[in-house]
Amino acid sequence: MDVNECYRLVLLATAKNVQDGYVSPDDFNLAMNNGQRMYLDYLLGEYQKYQPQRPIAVVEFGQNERIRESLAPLIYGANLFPNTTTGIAPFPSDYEYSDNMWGLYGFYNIKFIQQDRLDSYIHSSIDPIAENPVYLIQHEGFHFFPENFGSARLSYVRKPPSIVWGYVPDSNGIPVYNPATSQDPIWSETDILQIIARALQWLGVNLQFGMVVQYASQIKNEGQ
Amino acid sequence: MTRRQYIERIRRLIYGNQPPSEANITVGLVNNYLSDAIALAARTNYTDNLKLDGISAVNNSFYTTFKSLSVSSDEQFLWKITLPQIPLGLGETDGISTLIFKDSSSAQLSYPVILLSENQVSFQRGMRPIPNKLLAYPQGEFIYVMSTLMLSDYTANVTMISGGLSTDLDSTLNVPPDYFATMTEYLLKVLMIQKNQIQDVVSDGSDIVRST
Repeated sequence: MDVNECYRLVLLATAKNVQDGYVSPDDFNLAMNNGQRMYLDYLLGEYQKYQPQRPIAVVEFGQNERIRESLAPLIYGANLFPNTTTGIAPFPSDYEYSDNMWGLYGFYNIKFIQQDRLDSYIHSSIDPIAENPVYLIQHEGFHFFPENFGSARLSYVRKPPSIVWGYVPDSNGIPVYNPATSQDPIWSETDILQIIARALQWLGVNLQFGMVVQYASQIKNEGQ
Repeated sequence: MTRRQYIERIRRLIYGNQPPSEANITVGLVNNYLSDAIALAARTNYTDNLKLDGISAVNNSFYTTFKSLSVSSDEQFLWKITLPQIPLGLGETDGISTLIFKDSSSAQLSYPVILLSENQVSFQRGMRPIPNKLLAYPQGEFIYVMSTLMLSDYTANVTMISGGLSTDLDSTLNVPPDYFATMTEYLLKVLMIQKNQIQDVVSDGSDIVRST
């Protein structure tokens, strides 16, 4: 589904049209980009939905093929070459979430650990750190141990590229769709509907459309 | 079956699938516990043989020969060999079956050394030497050989109960297949204790389990 079709769907759902201008292209772009961020958060696993003693969201990244298929357009790979003194490799510029980390050669697992376990991992005699490298996540990026660790292969979820409904104003100042300055969503046909539902929720609140908010919530919570 | 194959089998049993990247039951950990499991299997075989045949023996399939172990001087007329692992505590010295010396400059092998228990060592000290026989006694991870010969010129070959080389995951697991079940049962029991343990996942400076 291209961005123009998305915009037409949003206008239809809000019972408005371009002439009335209630959902301007800029508002649409803002709402859609917010919607796709919310949907990404949902697919990665919303920790707000954790229960006591059970830190598992209803939907989580890697839960099954369906979830991974949805995120597939955002799953990228990168080779990392950490600084051999500090062991730090910066995040890729579009990095959002780690999927997995391996050694560059042979796909040997490099395990993510949290800071409070570092001592145990570094001083383990059963799984020596030299043969069982690990990494921390901190503000500079990935911090590998042992710090002279050479290279790694990262699979990660990237930030979704912006959805843009580009336009040029006609002689009356009404925006007309311009594919050249537009950017289509990267999501699949079914997933884009989830994003539109979330965008509608934002727009509904903004326009004070109770019906729209209710409709969007219904789609979000109960499915299409 | 190689150690690696057996370890993979155990890990897949524990995780119900291929282990994930977050797996805490690592290959190294299973390999570490495997030594205990092999010891248990050997002991079970030892007691099985005693019950069935009235003979205290461990099946040959459990044995491994470690070759070219170096010999060093420990005291006067006492020579020390470091074993790859502490022998199992079966019988008095049943953990080790054979110790022989090899001449590095030829293919010649010595006759097997007579292994004594610690109590026998005390008796032996007051006895005349046995002609053409070497006497030794295992102690922890060492074997001490009593001899006036210059044994450091030779290397030692030791045959002992051992599942094989624990440092080589591609080595064959020296356990008869009818004892895999005993080992698997033991490994699942201890490793599932770790797997099911409630973990302190909160880094709050106190050693109190707060959540899973």
